[in-house]
Amino acid sequence: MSDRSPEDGSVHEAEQQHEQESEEVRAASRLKRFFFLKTTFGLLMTAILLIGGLLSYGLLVKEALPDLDIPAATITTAWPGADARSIEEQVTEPIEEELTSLSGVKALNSASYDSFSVISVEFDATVNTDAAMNELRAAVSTAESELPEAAEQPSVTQISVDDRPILTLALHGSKNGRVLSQVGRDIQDRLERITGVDEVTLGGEREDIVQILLQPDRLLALGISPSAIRTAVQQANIQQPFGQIESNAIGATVRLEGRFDNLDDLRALPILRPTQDGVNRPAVRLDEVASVRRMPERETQRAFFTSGGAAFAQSLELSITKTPGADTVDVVDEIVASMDEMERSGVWPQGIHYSVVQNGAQEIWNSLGDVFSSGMQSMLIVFVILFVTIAWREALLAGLSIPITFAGVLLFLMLTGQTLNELVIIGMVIALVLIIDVFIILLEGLHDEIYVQKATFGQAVLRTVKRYAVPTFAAQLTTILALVPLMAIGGTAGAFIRILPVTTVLCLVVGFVLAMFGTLPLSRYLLGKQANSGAELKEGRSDRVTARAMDWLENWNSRHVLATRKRAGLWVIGAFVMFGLSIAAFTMTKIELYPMVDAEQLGINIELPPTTPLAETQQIAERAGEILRNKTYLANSVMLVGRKSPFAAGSVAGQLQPDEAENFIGFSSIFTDQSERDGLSFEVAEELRGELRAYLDSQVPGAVLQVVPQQRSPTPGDPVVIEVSGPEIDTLLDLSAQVRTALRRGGSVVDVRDNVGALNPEIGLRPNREAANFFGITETDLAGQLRAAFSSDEIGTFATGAAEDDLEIRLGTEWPSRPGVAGPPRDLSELAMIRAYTQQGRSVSLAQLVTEKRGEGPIAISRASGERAVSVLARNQGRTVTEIIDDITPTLDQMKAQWPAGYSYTVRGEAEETGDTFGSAGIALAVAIMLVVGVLVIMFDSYRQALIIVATMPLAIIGAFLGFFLFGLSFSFFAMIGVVSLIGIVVNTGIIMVDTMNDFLRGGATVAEAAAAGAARRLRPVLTTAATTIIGLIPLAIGSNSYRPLTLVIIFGLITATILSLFVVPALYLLLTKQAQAGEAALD
Amino acid sequence: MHRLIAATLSVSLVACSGSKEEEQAPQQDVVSVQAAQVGSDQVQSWVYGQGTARAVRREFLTFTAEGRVTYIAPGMEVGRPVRRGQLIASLQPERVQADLTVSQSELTSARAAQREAAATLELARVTLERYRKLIAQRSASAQEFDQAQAEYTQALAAKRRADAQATAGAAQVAQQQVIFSETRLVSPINGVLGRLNLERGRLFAPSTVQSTSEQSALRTVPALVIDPSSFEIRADLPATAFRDVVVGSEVLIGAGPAQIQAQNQKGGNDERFGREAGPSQPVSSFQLRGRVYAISPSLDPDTRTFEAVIRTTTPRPPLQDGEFVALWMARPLGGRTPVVPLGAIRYRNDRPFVFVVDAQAGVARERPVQLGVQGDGRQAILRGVRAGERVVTAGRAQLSDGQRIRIVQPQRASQPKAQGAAR
Repeated sequence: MSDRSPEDGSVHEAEQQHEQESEEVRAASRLKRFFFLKTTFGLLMTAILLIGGLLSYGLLVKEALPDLDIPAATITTAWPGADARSIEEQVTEPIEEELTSLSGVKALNSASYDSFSVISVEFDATVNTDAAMNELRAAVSTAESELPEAAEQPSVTQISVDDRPILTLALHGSKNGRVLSQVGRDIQDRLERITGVDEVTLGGEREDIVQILLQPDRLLALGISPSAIRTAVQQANIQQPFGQIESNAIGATVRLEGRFDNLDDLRALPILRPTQDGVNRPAVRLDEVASVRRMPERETQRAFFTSGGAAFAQSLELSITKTPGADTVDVVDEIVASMDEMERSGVWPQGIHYSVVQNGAQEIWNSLGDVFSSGMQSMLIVFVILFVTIAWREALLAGLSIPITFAGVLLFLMLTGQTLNELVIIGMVIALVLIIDVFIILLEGLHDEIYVQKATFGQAVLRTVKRYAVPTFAAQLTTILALVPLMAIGGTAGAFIRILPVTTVLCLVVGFVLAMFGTLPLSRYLLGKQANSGAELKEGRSDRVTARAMDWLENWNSRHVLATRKRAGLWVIGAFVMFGLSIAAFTMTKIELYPMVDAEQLGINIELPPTTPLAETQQIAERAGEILRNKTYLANSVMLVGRKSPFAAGSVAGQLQPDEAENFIGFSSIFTDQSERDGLSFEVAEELRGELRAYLDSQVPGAVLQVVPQQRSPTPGDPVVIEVSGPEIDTLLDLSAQVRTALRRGGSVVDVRDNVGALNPEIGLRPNREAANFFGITETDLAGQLRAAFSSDEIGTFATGAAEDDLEIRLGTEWPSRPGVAGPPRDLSELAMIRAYTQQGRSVSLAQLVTEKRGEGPIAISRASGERAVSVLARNQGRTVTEIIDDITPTLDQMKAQWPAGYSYTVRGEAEETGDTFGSAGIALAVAIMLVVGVLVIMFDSYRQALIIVATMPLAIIGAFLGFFLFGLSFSFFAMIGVVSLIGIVVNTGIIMVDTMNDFLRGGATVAEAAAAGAARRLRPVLTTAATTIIGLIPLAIGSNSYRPLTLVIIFGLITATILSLFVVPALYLLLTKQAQAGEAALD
Repeated sequence: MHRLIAATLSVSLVACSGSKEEEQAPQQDVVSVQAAQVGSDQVQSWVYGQGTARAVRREFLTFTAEGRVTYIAPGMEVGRPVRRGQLIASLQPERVQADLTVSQSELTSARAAQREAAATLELARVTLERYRKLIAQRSASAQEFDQAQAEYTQALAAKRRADAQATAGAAQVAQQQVIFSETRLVSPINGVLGRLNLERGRLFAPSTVQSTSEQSALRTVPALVIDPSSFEIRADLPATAFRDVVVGSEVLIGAGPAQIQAQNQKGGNDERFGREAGPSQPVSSFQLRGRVYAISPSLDPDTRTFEAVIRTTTPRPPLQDGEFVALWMARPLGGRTPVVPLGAIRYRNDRPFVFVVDAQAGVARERPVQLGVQGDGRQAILRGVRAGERVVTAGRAQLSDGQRIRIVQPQRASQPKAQGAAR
């Protein structure tokens, strides 16, 4: 009896109510009353979770796969005029030396080109990005002091995944490249102002320039050196402020406006000629020796677009990237709205339209949508199961709790700055099937108390909490602890996957909290009346069936499994044998990190021999384009002449190579919807490869083809990477050719190439120093003169109106073999016309000044990890990367024995990453098992019992490995995740069984009886929980190609675990439990 | 029973693993290439030179006397043809003419005096003869005979004096004629008037003519007449070319016919009528030809070049006097050698090599070669390949020694390109 306060009337009422309460309820502590018996807290929490979740859904950034914040950066240093070797020795190597001292560097690759150097640094995914970047910049600054003076300052750019475009548009409708370029630039200005848009890159654009085209024959006749012209233009093109006249009356700022803003002005520029033989020669006008024109710059690339089988139309490509943290979907919507508005308002010239080539938002919706709908299906199925297995009120309660749990999880995700992506949804689905068990157990317990034990609601709640809270918590804990090590997997893959276990664990925690403090109290609304009005237990048919099954199992177990210890032992041994078989099966299973899945994008690169001119490349591209155009499974394609396709971007090692050159062809294509074509995207891509290969083999000598279907992995690129390192580039090229041949002979690889590409013929001009000195021409002067004959360099800027950007003034030579454009001579005979000019204006044949040296060189000198290296790249087809590498390793080792000293090879790429990832996943598995064992030992206070429960794990693995082997599936990274998750899931079955067995044992049964009863009596929850999990995951297994391995592992594993546990766990219990354990051991 | 199950499972596992072999065709390791036959031929190569074209016969005409230009032949302009002996211009002819007339009249009178003296002499001689006869007959006196003798001698002397005066008169006339001619510009050759630096009424003095350099001479000399039927070009060639040119070699001068280059240029670029340079054009397209006329054996120490003189052989060559032209001089033809297209050669460390097709094995073999001369887009090979073998042209960049190849003949259905050197 509680104390009375005489003055409080309401207390009297309360007392009366209290008196109406049962013993238990009255005795409950204030905390228990508040949290479990009153609905206040439950309502509050539910409301917060629900509302917060809905708001978060709106605010969360949606994306398909999580963007990885991988610390990586490129360091670019320019040194105009230096050749690749000098750049390597004097720029790349000093910087690399500083960088090797940094910690956490995963990969260091570099390429030294003519006139600039690119170094790419990739850190481990676990390194803090900001700290890593700071260290990097500091290292580069230190290295700067060792660089030659002529080299410019190195610039460090951080790479982020946001460098991939979220939206690619093609602008077409005019054959005039200039018009397209102009419209493109307008669009660029406008779009870059939208918040969230980082950069708009134009492909196929040609800027206008003012081109001075020297006429070589005029120069020779008049004896004028190109350097003289350059100097004349530069000296005249001055704009300089002088200062201010400080006076009231005439105060003004004075400046010299010498800059060219008028072509005629430039044409009239006088060029002085040195006196020759004592005769003064008059100056000539610039237009007497050169033509001066405003024109689009030399075309180096073109873009064309086709959609729905129409002919390729000249187009301009716009790729748009977003700023970090921006929401792709929102930004894309704004951009499309802006473009539509521009098109409608008629700002563009007649006939110009835009088409969407690649829509990142669409991709996100598609993939998110797929997974989302599978998730919804899972939820529906779970509801159905609930309604079938337990009474409708409880099913309703459980069913409603699930979405609220998810809402809560979304809230937490938003608060911690995560995004909503596929992995989050998968994590939720897995959690769904696990959480539902908690609800089932609690609600079943409640149901039991109310209907069978005829308790009041309050009593029922308290008893349920008392009886099931701890075991349920323990079960959840084991699952959570099994998942936690997944968060610790190393490498990029680990960082990539992290959000999945995080989400699942979060779901489990929130679900548990909601179940205990929300669902239970709030079920008062539905069940309260039932309970207090004396519920009648209507035994349903399901109850009858269950009772019969339980009886059958108990009998069967008693007779066949538990009859003697020896029998039990045989069962256990049998289980071990099966486990051994499954391990053997696993060794024969294919392993790959990320299996190929159907995806939208397709990139094709064709590399022609290095000396192919743009016109010829165009012809070949058009014919290849015809093949693509007629394919009904391609919705649209962009043809790039002079550039590689961004959809076929390779790995980091490959990205160091230039992707723009006149001999490149690229196709960026988008597949139609999967329902509209027959065949998965990567299968169709292989057919297409065959066709293109046939065309190229018969029509185009020396062409290299790459067909790259999109890969859904965090690190796209060539999976097979073999790095050959050593001191000499020539030897490396030979060795890489050997490796390539070996790879091809091994089979199952496509797109075999190295990151150097075909060698470019080079002509080196070595100055004859004595002759140069004799003629009074310095090497610098000679270089300057020769440059004008070969390239078109910028020598100044030309002022245009205020609205436009200033144009570049470029100085080049017009050779008869290519009239109208600046560029190097095409004809050998024209090379003879390149002469050097002395100070006196006389021209000297080059043969007197330089000796020619011919050779071939890679376009760049590539290095990796501080040494010269050439990487051989390839993609696997039909077999996994690990298989291919394993096959080829003996051959490679044999070859290596023949190589000169100092040369070796390393396997990188996916094989390296697979090793790392599976290695650390294996460690995660081991840690998970240990943690689970720990919890079990604490829970059951017995190592043996913990062992019994742990024995359910191998039973699960049997199912997983055998299933994969029998169905010929490859074991991928997600499957590995599934195995680790499985560990946590199956343990619960064992816990339930052993717990019940212990109860029976304490109740006085023999060990054998307890074993049989324990397994049988809990048949219903065991089967229900397993069934909900399995059936709940089936929609995901069917619907989603990417995540099928994950779900199949869990499904197979659970099937075998559940079925076998029913027999093996009692057997183990019999073998390992002593009767004496029934009581407390004496601890003296 | 469990054992039976286990056994069945293990058997099925083994059976399944057997069928897991997937036969993958080895990746195509064959590179498509084009090949060309190695021919046997003499390769004509060319040496480049450049120089200024001048007419072979050019006459600088000038007045050596001072004076005012009073006459320029009507219709006389640069570019007009002139005949040999045609008067082009003259300075103040009247005074000189008057002087000439005076001299001529003096000559006439001197000749008259001469004749008179001759007659007097004749008379004196006859008289002397008569007196000699009379003396013999003793009909005349010795005094009369002596007188007659003395008169004869006198007459002789007078005759001689008259002769001398006539001669002097003639000389005077000749001198005046020269002076007269110095005030006239007369073309000594048939040709074309190249320069005319005269105006009627202008004062001319010989000191205004500067002959220190070509340019100054051209600007100051009164008239220049050239014969445009034959031009001479003096080219300065670098010392290294000395063994490459011989007297009598054919020379291609300037450009081939102006051709319109049809390029795949789109959008806005004007098409230019370019002057192709060099013998990459078919040799037959060169309209202007010449021959090496002379080669200087001495090297100019200032420029390290030697001079070669080329004369045009084409009749009425379309050149301008003073035009700067490019030249291609034929090197002496060597013997027949194996010849490959230029596009078959690759270099490594300055060492050339080709890929020879091994038809039996279906591979390409790398072979180092020694190069001879090159011309017409072809390269003569001194050592390394034989005629009849086939070498890889297109696609050679992808090859290494022993690479399997497939020879293809791509159809180029599109427009015929301007082939250039790489045929």
